[in-house]
Amino acid sequence: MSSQRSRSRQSVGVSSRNISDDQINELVSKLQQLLPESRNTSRRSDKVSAAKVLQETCNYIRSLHREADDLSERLSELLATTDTAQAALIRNLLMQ
Amino acid sequence: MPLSELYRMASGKIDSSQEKNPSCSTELSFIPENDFVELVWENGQIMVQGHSNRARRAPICGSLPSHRLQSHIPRTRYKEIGNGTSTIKIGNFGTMDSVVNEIPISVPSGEIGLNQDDDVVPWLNYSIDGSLQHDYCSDFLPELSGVTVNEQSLDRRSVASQLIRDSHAVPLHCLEQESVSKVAMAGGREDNRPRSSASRLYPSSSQSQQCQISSSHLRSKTSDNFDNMSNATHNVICGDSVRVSTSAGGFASSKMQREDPALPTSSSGYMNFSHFLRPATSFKASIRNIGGRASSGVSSLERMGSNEKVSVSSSSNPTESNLNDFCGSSRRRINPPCQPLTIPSKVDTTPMEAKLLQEVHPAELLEAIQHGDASKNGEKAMQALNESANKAQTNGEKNIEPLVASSSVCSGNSVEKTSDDRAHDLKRKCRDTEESEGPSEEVEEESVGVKRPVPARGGTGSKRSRAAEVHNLSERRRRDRINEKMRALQELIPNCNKVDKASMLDEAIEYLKTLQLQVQIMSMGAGLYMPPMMFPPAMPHMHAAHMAHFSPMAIGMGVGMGMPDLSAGSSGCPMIQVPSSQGAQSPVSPMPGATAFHGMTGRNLQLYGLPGQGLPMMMPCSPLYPLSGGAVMKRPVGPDASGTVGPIQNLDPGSCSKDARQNINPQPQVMENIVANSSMNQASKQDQFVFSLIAERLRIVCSFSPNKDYGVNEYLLGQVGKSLLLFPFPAWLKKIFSYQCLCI
Repeated sequence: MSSQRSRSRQSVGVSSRNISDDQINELVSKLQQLLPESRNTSRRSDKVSAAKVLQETCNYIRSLHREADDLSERLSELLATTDTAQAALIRNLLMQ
Repeated sequence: MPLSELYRMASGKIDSSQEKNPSCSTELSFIPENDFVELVWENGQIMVQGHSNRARRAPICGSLPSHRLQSHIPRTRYKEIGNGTSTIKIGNFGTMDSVVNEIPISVPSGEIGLNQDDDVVPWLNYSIDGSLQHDYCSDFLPELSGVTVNEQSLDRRSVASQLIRDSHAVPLHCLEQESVSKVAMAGGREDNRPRSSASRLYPSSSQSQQCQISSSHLRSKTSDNFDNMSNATHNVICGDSVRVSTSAGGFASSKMQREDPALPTSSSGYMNFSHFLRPATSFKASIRNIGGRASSGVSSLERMGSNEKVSVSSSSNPTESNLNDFCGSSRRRINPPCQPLTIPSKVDTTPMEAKLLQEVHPAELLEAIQHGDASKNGEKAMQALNESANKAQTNGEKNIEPLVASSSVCSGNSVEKTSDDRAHDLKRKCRDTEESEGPSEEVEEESVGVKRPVPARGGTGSKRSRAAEVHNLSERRRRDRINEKMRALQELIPNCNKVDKASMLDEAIEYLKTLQLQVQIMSMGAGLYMPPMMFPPAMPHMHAAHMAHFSPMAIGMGVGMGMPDLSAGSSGCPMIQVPSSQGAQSPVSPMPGATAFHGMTGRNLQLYGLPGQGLPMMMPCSPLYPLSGGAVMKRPVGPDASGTVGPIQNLDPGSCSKDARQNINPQPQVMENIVANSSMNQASKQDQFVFSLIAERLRIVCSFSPNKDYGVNEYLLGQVGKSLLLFPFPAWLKKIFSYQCLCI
């Protein structure tokens, strides 16, 4: 990447940071891939700042948390409302 | 008395500030005002009097108001609140207080105009001076004014915010209105002097008694005075009452809380308020130094007070409706410009302020306020605020925390509401900040993208150095932002104490995957119940065939077995329906995996359109995973099959080995697929339970996973598998799980 090169050229001390920068860029792009499409498409291009990706990730994780909570509620309701031997069993298991 | 001490400190600070800043001279007089307010009931009319009046004089007299008034402060205020707010809920108390406090200040001006007594004279002089000084201050401290306003309001309102999230703003507004109207009336018509003096001299007890006079009187009066109110307020404002403006500020702040349908009311008063808000705000700016400490202490005191007041019974005012309407209208007017601003402004301002060490206190207050607002405005705001708070904290301000804790809902709003001018300024500011933030990111992005090339290409040293400079700057900012987000992210990841960025990101990625998996599985577990009829009748028994049929696709997906069945089951609800059902709950779009599924569903639907295809067929492509043994086994082994590990091993110990591992290791999808597969194919209740069990287990495991190894999800699978082994479940599925268990 030219940018990386240029940066390293500017100051030598940055070099060590550059390595981690590359790593981080890579990881961030990985992270970005995990984000749902809709979140990515809102970006005008595939070039997105790391901060935005991270922000999106945070939002996404939060939304996932919410979703998980909702679902767990629903599941527990289902478990509670259904009464079968198995249901009881599962309940017992979950209680452990 | 801690309060007294606080005040002493505050006064001391003020003094110091005075010395330093000539413009702050008015501070002394004003600061105490807010804190001390008395409601005096006389002749059927309520007069709100601030100890502030005394405070004003105090400087003239040469004595510190804070010392004098200390004893009175807690009682009077609380009593006032209690009495005045009898109809009001505790939460409103804070705002009420502020309003009340601020209003009395205006009284003197009114008196000046109408009643000119000896007593009034000093007030008059003082008020004028104060106004002038305020203006002066405003000139000097335009920026601070907005912030500092919050501080004061914060002090009083912190209680409100803590106790009441939901704005009982209506009653509050009513009270405010009442107080305003009374004050105005008092100033305009009645003899204020005796009362004012009384209020000054009276021990708190007498004041409290007066205050205790039933609010019903108040109501009636207010109703009577209501018409006059607007005029009165007008007059007051004309009288150069800075306080009125402050009250307006408080008033405005209250607006934010609620959006009431409003009736047409006196717009003139509103306009005036806005006009005068500026000086008030400026004066408050001077207080900011004190604010930091005093606010916390006061807030605690207020809290106590509020607790006391909680017991006060509330009664409904007939006039409330009118007042409410009035308030609502005024609120509405002010709000439209302000509301959009508030949230962004807060969010934006905080980071900026965090950077400005000088204004750290206001910034903190703002944050606190923001927090308060956030509670109302929504989680988003909260998040943003939290982040900002984090930032501020990182900046080394320890004070933030307590302040934040004492965040006041109302106060936050007051800043933006203060006045039109104020609002405009704020708007401008906010816009600036927003723009600066928004574009800055882009700029930085671009800078990262555009400027980097420049130095790379630029041959001349000067160019390069300049570019490097700019680049460094932008780079630093970018880095800061990233770091900030990193922290935010880190907080979202349980048990993540990684310091290294890379490992942090790794963790985040894994956690995100896990979370997605969990949600998907859970949604499947929950979704299974929804439309049982969705399953094609032939479905349950032909999953093996389907698997075979789809195996190519599955291979392409890198998934051994789950895919085909999932796709086959696509006609079934889970993948399709669950997302849709969840759409309402969370705007989150289905995850990548889901999209993949969607892609598959098209195919599957086609397949299902042709029933013949759904029938068992030979495997065109041998599935990667040897599921032939258990594939068709849909029969539950029995709940007591805890010992199944052995049998499962026997099922295909060898075949399971490498391929399975390879295929399974891309965990999330595999899991989804597996679960989806089984869930699709077997709609029996047992399996439904199993799925819900899985989901629940997953949830538990995810939340408590000790090793936090979200990477391969082996732990997850192991946990789920272990629990699954105890349950009737398709053998093939058990096999997989058991395999995972064994791997662990």
